[in-house]
Amino acid sequence: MTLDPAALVDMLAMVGDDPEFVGEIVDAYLADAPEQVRGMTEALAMGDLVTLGRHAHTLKGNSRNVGATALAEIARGLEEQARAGDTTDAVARIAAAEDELGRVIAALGDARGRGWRP
Amino acid sequence: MTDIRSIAGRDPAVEGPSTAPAAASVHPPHVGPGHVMVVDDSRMNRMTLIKLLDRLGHEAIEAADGREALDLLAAGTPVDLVLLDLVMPEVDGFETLATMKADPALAHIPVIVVSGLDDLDGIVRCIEMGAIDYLPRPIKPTLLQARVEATLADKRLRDDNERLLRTVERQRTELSRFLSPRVAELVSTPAGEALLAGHRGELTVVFADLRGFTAFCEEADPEEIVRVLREYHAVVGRRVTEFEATLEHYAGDGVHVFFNDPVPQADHRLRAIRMTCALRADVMALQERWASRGVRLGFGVGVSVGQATAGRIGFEGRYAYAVLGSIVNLAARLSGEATPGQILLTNELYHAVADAVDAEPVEGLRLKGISHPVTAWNVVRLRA
Repeated sequence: MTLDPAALVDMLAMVGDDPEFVGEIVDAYLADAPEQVRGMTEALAMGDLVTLGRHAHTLKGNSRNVGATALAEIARGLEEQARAGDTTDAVARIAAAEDELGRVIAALGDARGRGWRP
Repeated sequence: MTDIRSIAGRDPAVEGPSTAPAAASVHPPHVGPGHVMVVDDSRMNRMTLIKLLDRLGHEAIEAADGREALDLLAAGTPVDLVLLDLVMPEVDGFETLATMKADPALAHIPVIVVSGLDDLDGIVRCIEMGAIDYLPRPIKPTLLQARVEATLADKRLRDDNERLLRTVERQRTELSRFLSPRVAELVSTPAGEALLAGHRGELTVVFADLRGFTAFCEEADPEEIVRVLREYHAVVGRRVTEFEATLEHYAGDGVHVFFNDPVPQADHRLRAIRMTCALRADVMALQERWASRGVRLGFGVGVSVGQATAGRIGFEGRYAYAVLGSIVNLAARLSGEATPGQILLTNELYHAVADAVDAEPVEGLRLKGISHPVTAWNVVRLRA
């Protein structure tokens, strides 16, 4: 699922029904996530699997928080692979993450328009 | 994927997002605001925690990784609690935790690990390394509040205990100035506890005070009174410690000490007399200084020996280590009879130390509570 609406509802509840605060959290996500994808690409190019795994780890957690479950799942796979020292299809996985991030950004834009409600 | 929210124990019937918002059940802080450091390389995570902490009334300090956190701590930033992410660039959570626990100045600061439950190994490792607790992601405000406040309350308790211990230690040090370190040490041991319960033994009791002190207090400036007392107490305190006397009472110009208890002193009789002679010389030196300021005060001492009961007397919060017995009254009465410069010994005490002391008899003393006139002995000097 590109965007699980329950996660944003949870987040709204977490911050005491404050849509503006959810907006700030999502903005932080939108600022960080493309950097994490870029970071993974650079780390892979340099063969630095520790940094690759770290970026994947952060992207995974942050994506879960906003409900981007599919992206979180791709990131989880990348993190596990990096930890195992395996880079077989890392290039393709990172490309998939980038594509998925594009869809997440669009979906979050829609959700913002609805006040983060389904 | 693993649904981390279900692992984290959310019960939708109780805390579902469709019913009341979770934040609505967040109560005002119970323990007062604390300084909470948030260490996380994810801006999103930092922001979420900082905002939630702010709502709970705590002050958040932000660090983007372990290095920044350790730098802030090293700079003396006041921190009551650290919320620590594990996976971070440069210095990660494990290294941050290890560095903190290895530093005596930082080891006492509680650390709560913030992590997804899929990193259970990391959480367990951190608890083993000294982290106090963990918070699962995504953060649930009620859990955050409960963990943060329980930890802050615990830290406050430990800080209070620490302060209390330091106070006790300081008081013991303070006490030891008067009691002699040996006695101060003894009273805080199990053997000391037994002694406090009360026991009988042979003691030498000393009373000393300043002649003319009451009149002096009525006439002199408060500053002068305090100055004189401070000078006097300084010499008394020094001699009490030097001769390892047990201080029973120390009020204004009156000093009441005894020997041979709680620590046995085979030479308690002579030791008491040696202390009073040293003290008499000290006070004579002081008297010259006082005379130049127009202050005239004499020094009188009474000393007795015999059986008495010693132990803890009083009531909760106002206990004293006291001696009871007729020899105590006797020493007090002799001190009252002593003219300036006299150290009056009871007849019995004088005969016990006659080999070592030159003394002159003071005959026909009529002491309150004693039907017949008594003979006391004024110590002229100690024989070499």
